[in-house]
Amino acid sequence: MKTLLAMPKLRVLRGLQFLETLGAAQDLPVLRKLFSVTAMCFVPGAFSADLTITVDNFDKPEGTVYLSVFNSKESYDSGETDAAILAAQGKLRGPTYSLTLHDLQPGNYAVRLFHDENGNGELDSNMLGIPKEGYGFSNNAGRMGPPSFEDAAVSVTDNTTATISLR
Amino acid sequence: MKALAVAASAHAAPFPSAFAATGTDPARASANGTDTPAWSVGFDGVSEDLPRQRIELEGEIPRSCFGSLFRNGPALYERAGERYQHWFDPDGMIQAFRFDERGVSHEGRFVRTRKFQQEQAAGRFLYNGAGSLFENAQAARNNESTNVANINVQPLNGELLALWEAGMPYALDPETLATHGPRSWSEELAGVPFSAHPKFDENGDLWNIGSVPWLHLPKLVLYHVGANGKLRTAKMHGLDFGGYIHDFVLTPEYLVVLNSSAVFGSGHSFVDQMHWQPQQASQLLVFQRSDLSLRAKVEVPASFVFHFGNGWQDRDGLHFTACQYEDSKIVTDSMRRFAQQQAGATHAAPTLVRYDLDRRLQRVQITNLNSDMEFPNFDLRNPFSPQTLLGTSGEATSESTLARAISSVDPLTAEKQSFDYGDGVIAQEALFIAGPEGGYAMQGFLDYERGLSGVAIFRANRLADGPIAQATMERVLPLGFHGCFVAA
Repeated sequence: MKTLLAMPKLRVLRGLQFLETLGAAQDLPVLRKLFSVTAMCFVPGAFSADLTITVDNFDKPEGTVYLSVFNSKESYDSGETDAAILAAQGKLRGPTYSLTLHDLQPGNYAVRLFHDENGNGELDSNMLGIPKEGYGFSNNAGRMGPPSFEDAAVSVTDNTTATISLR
Repeated sequence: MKALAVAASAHAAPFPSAFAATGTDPARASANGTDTPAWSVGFDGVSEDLPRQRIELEGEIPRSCFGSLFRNGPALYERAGERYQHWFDPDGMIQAFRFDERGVSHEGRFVRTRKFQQEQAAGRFLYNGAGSLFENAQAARNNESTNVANINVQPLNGELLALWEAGMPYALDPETLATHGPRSWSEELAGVPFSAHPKFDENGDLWNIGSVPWLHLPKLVLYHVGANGKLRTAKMHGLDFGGYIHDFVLTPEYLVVLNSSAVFGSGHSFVDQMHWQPQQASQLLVFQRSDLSLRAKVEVPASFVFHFGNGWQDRDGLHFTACQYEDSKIVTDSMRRFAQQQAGATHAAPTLVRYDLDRRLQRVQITNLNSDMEFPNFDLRNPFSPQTLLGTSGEATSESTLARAISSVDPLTAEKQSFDYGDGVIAQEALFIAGPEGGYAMQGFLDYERGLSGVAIFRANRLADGPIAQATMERVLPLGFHGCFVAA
């Protein structure tokens, strides 16, 4: 596990059991292999649905993506990464970024993410608290400011793809 | 020059003879089959940069007027069959009129904002505007996503700043009008609103405000930028309520802001969120220049002001002028109507008033100067003395409900002079140009009956005599807002 977390391409902060990466930049066979093992350990239920998240519209094809997935209004509203079922960061190496969560329980999942262009580990904002770097939510929900959990939630009952265009 | 005097005394469009052949119909058929008023050509917009061309000149350009007149304004109205719905919104284009021994030239170039470039590449509108909503608009990252840099253009440290009011200014090259990029004063201030009406002090330093009324806790940011273009200080203040604030007054000691009674609440667009609240007294906020601290807060009757004249101080206190509206219909109704090219009357013309604040900054007296005026300007060499203001007027008698005259008003005596261009002409912002015998006034105009845009030059203290020189061309420029004159 330690080796995995230290990998430069993808760093799982929380909720490793759901995760598999896709796409040229994030194709990590080692991770995928270990992953199915952990997945089997943690989610033994018969139900199995995948959620694939694809992100585009990055300002530049480099930097780091920070992504969190929430499965309840309470955890989403808390805004805490600790409350997410998955929190991950990955290097962006192209115009898009993808990853797949496996073996999810049926339910509603909201994704939020941001693009750390300058590598300081934060979504940079100005003195008004308005973000300067790109960010996004599932369903591309919201106009100005963050959307509600209801607006951002993707219903997962079967294998599902969520495409997010970064703001 | 005899012909000029005849034209002026007849109060007709000056220099009519040269261009009498071209013209537009009083009512034009629009794309949807309904008649649009003739004046609405000023809101057709353009879709391409306008390459430099020499333009017709009548009369003689005074040497003091050699240099460049830069004007900014909303210019790109349509993409992929969709049209902006409010005059706040079309993408900004800088118009440059250059005057020298050889005559006059004109060119226009769009400000390459992030939004302009993204939408140019996409071939359609991607974002909603301040007062425009589109079917498939995508979410905006922040206020900068919709920055169209379309209100004003001012010089700073060898560059031009194309100014919006809800985001950063864009720096431009004064020679080529090429866009250098957004100008942030510091990391923390990146994307923080910077008004379109910065003021220069006696040292060439620039002062400005940034209004953030749409947040849950409305804010006002104050800026002091050195003549070298480097930030000296900035300070953020909370506001009691989020009124629309567009401009402010600079005096030797103070910045004076009017928190208006057009208050932000719920609504789909920025403009929809603006609600006129006559029961909400407006506030004069007086900030100390030395440390940008709040010095006084004075309640005044509910009012709405886009633009202020200059401010001065004397032994009696602090004084300034304002072009004051009865309400905010100019924004919520008229500016929609103009952009949608519809006839009608939806707002009362603004009246020039003088505010006199006592020395303790507690009591205020407001005097009506009995003149309608917009786009007030003055001699920038003397920003802190009671100056005769130059402005536009004549909205009440104009079929477009836009100005058709230039006027000057003394803020102490209310003495007035004006020149009416006549039917079929819309008068734009007039600037004071320093020169002998009281200097000159330079004003852009649109002669929509003849399909001409141009610039007229007057003796500033003899407006009623009519223009002494005028340059016109068969390019119908979109009606704009504000600009500056940079002497050669």
